Amino acid sequence: MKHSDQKSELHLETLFTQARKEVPSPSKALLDQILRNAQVQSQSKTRNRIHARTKQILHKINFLHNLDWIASIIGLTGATAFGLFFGIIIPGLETEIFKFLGLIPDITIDFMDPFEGLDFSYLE
Amino acid sequence: MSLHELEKLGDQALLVAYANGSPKATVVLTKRLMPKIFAQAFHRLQSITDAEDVTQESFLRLWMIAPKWRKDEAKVTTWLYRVVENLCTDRLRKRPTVGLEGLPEIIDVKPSAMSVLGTQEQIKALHKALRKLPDRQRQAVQMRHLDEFSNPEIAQTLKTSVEGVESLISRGKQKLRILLAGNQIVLGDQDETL
Repeated sequence: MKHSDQKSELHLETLFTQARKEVPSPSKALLDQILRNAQVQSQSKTRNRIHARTKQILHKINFLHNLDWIASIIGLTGATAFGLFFGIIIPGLETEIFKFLGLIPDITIDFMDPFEGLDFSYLE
Repeated sequence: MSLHELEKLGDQALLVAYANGSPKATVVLTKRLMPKIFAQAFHRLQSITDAEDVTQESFLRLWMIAPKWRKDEAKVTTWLYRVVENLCTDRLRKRPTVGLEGLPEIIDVKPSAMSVLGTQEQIKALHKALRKLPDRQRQAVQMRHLDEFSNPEIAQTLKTSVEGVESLISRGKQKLRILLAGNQIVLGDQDETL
């Protein structure tokens, strides 16, 4: 690099150094404003999250309401309870009830002698 | 977590802490980055009011993007640099342009011609000459000599190699010397990509 180039390079470096020093300090008001903006953004996001969650819950409640949810739950619960009662707690109870109601005959078929109990005297 | 512990965290970690609702992280991050962002904006705009506006706007955009910030994205400083550059470019476009013709006429083409101007005028002349450079040369020179980024950081921001950055800076400074010497040579190359 020529001497003149070195001189101008040095001059340029000096200019850059002076330009860096010329930058004023940012004001405290600017710092406060930036922090306020941060807080507002943070609160806005929290509100949006709560709002979204509330909307989800209200939507579910509305959905169940549209299904007449109270009657649905009572009916489903009752049906479940009866089913468990008949199927698990007292097995065979439904058979006795059906017999009582006459829905099924009160006879027992002996598969070893299927004709037992039948009267064939008219054939003699 | 105390302020002292937060100060040991990196920029990304502080940004995530802010997104998770830590007001202390906000303070630490802002105090760390604000002077550099403000300086960058002031170098571009040469106006305290405009620089403060741009700084405020840049941080606002940072707060808004914080919840979506991904670790594999650019560094916070790189991201902010680009935002500040774009905001400053928009502001400068809206300003009435004053070219080098606005400077006192320099008849003597020797490098010492600059010495006829006071320090303030020389610095103004420097900034106006910078705006005459092709964009990438200008960005590289400003980031290196005014914003004091390292060459690898500049390379990452400009998406080029370190050697590319060195070449941009070298050519940019060469053109600056010519412009500041008052020699009105038309710049032959436009915005260079490396």
